[in-house]
Amino acid sequence: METLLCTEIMSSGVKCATVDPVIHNSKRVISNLLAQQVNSLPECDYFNTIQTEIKPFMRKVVTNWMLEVCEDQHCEMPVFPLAVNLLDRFLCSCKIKRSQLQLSGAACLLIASKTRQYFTLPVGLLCFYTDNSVTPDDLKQWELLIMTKLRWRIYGVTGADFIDHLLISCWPDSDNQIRNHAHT
Amino acid sequence: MQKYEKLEKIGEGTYGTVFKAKNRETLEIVALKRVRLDDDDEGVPSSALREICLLKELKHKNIVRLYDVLHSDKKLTLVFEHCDQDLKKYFDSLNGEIDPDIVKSFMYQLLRGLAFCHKSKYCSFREYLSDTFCVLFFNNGELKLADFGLARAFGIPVKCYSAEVVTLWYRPPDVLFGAKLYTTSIDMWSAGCIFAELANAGRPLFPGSDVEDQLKRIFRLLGTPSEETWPSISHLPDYRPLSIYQPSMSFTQVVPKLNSKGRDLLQRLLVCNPAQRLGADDAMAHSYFADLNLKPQQ
Repeated sequence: METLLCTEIMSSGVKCATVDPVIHNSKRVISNLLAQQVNSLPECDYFNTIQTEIKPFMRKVVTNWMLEVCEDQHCEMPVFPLAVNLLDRFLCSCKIKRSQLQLSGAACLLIASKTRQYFTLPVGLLCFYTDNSVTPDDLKQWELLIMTKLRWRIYGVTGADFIDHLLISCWPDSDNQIRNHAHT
Repeated sequence: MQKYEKLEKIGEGTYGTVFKAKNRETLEIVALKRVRLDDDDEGVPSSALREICLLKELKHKNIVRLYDVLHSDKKLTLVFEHCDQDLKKYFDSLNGEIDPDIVKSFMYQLLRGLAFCHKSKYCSFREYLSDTFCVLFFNNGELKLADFGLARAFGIPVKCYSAEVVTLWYRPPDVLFGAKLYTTSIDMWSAGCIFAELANAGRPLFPGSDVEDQLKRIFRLLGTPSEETWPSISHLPDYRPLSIYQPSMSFTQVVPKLNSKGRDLLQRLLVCNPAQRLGADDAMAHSYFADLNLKPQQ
């Protein structure tokens, strides 16, 4: 029976890295993450300072939409939190119209998927998820705009980045179940 | 773009042309790497995007600096620190002779750059550097890791990249056997290969022509690993039993100019079982570097 047991950890067909002692047993990596986390926080309360049209409930709608896209496309775990982090930081730096919010969310998903997973979310597919209210050219322009506004610092640290480190230092023998629970 | 005056074409990078240029204001020499955007339907190529983001964060004297990213209509221009020579040009200038102190200094700097990458928060982002640092540059005796265009997400299967024949020479047996999980130990194997190449003034250690030949060359020096020396080796995806080689060459023959401490370090890096390979920090603490002089005369 044991030979039939599938021990692989599948996540959207791509295997993730296993534990690397150089990285995961290093206190310095965790302290670096903690220090870096501060740099990747949104700088201000943009609803009250930068944005005039964008309201908190709209953020909720667009981030829910982003989560649906990620779930539908079985994105790697860190993609969604990073995309939201990018969106929040972008909204701190640039005033946008209400009609550009979904475009911004889509562009953040595009960038996050390029940095955090092997399979990039295709531009055409993201446009499809917006019911084609966004064109591929808009999306590509907006991708550049966001990266320029964030000065190419798009390696934001999110809660998801801590999970493996914490799990390994707390429960070295933990199985994937705890990890999955942590992600939800 | 008016800020820079193009001087000459240096070469073709992983995704664009590289030019040497001068900053008109500061007269500083830089390298410009151009990424065309119009022929890509997916926006900024993800390899370029990863390189930019990584280099924006990795600031270290042994890693090539990215000063700026300029973007115009249909292209991105990456402004890099300019380096005089790449590894190949440097070796060509040597005529087969290299000062042992320079070998030591370069090896130390290579390890220091790697240690920085491995300890940086970005590796915890599952981004790692193997294969990529085969592009090494030198600037007045300083070594720089460069060309992170291939730096890839940690979980990406290696097969997608196996067309890169050059980097075959620097691949460890675990990757050659199809290990799809990257760890920092891969970089340490590559560092060992480069160490031997440096010590021999540019002769590659394992210049294999394909995966099979590559493995044979490795095992002729190190002996074919078995389940005893490397538990779970047979579980690797592309593992197949190869003829059993007993080590037929000694390290003294392979790197005749390296002293005994250097040979010891090399042997600890070139270990088939990735779990037993020395890490970058430990390698830097090796007694070979005890009398290190970081600025030897060129």
